[in-house]
Amino acid sequence: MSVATPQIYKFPPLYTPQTNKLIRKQQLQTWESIILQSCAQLSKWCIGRNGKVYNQATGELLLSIFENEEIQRSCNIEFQQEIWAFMLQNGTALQLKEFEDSNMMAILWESLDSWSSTILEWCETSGKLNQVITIYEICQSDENSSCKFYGMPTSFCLLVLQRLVDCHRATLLKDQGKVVGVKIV
Amino acid sequence: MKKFGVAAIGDSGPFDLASNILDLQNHELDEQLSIFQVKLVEFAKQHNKELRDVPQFRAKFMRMCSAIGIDPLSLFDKNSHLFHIDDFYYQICVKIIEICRNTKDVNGGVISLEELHVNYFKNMNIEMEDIQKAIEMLTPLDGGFELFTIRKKEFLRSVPNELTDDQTKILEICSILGYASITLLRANLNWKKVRSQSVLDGMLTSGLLWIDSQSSDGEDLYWDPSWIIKLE
Amino acid sequence: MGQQGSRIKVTEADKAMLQLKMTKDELHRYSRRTENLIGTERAQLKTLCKSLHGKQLKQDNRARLLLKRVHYQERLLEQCSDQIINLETMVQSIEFKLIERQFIDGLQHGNELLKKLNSELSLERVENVMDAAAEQIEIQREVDDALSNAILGSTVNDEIDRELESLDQEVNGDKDTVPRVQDKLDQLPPANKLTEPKVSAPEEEKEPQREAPREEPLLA
Repeated sequence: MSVATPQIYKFPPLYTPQTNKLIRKQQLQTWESIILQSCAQLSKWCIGRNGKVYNQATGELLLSIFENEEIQRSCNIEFQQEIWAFMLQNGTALQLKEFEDSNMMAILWESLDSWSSTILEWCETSGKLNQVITIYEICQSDENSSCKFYGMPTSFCLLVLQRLVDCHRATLLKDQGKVVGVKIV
Repeated sequence: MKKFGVAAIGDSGPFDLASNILDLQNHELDEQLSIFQVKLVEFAKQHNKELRDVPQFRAKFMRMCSAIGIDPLSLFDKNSHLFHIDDFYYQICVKIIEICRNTKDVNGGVISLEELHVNYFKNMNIEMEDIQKAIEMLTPLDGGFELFTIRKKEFLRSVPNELTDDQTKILEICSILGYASITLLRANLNWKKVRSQSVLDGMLTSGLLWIDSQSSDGEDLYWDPSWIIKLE
Repeated sequence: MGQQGSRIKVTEADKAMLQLKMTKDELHRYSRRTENLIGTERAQLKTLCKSLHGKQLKQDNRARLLLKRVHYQERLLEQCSDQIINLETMVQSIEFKLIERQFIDGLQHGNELLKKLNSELSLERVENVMDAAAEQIEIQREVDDALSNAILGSTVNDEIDRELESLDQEVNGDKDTVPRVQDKLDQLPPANKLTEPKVSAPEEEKEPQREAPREEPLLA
């Protein structure tokens, strides 16, 4: 595994749901932070419901968070579901429309608000205020390859931009019924 | 990845400039803050006597310290008796109680002194003896803090229910491999299955042990959470 | 084009710009695809190279075809890249033109305002106002003269001189002069009397009504 994990990741009982309620909650929180940290380290916005992350270009398996080969432990499906439910409830994971059938979860290792202010800051520093910007430009443009939000999935980006719309800092532009651009002021 | 259009010309976008400036500002602020911290510590050393004698002054000073992120503990110097020596231990007591509260949900209220020391106090130059002394000072509080020893290793219990002898023995077994199991208990203590099972179950419910049902031989293992700090 | 409950205006220019940028994005996507394709084809070519050697390779149709494709696609990629730069230049010139338009608009507004203000300021009116102002200034000056002449006459200066002299002697003079100070003091009452005719003198000259009320409290 290429990501750094806390010591508790090698603690065998972490992979078995605990019976004590308080401990179970603590356990879920631990899993949540492990998932958030790993995704942040890999700059991955999405992770499979089975905890696997693949390199999109090569198809190579980058990470399988729920399995720890080193200590021969893994979370069973029910426990995985419970972790996802916990994260969905906390708003640290999202079920995005475009992933509904492919069993992918979007991971918010930074909150939507934090992402929206990052994008706002980017607009300010790169002089994109009051201009039309396409969503593709934000997430994929070569100029932004060093930005934190480079490679962000479109629907994820829309959620972030919606925050800006809500506070009257942005207008979404549609083309043929699909949001493709945004104007941020 | 190859870049197209204007982006292909150079990597230095407008961000470099902006982030450079921000970095610079950050750096300067950091520097100023650290200078301020150093001065504050100096000040504390110089006015040691006043600080010790005037409680109001001391309280205000401590508030200022915590506002700019200095842990009051780092200001204490045992040898020069900065503030009052007792205050130093009171601060450690507060820290210990805080830590016990925060970790209660992981370890069921039992923490090894080693874990306390390594994880929380080592970088503040606080020795094991200081922690022990502070814990002694906690006893009059009657808050259920108690030290006990398992295989020459000291543990602090911060929940009121006392450990039974059986529970202590299980924790002893756990301190060898990190876990206990019915087989292990039978081999080492010659306990019957029923006895082991009931004690282990009790410890699970009170959060002293974590269960692991994925061991290679299929037997449930009961892990002691204080083992976590030993994992590499 | 959608607009979701905000006050930000979306102009026709914005819409056009959106189209332009979308085209750019499309080109960008195409370049990425082509680049990937070139990568995989080059890899294929390399594996072919490993299995075939020398003449065999040169005669192999697949290798020739692959190489041709790669070259062709590289040319496409270059064109594509040029086009992206063109589009970027265009986007920038449009943005600049938009700013220029704002600049012209601003100038025009300023101009109109200036014109309006100028039309309000006709020459005749200005002359009238200036004449009136000059007249008033003249009156003011006369009044000033009259007032300053009236009270501060040369006699006042004489009086001040004398007083200063006496002060001088009082302070700097010998002790013998003490009686002399008494002498000087004796001389003061006639000096007071001198002012009286002077105060009444301008009364006869000008504006007797104005001076009249001033005299009344004096007498009382």
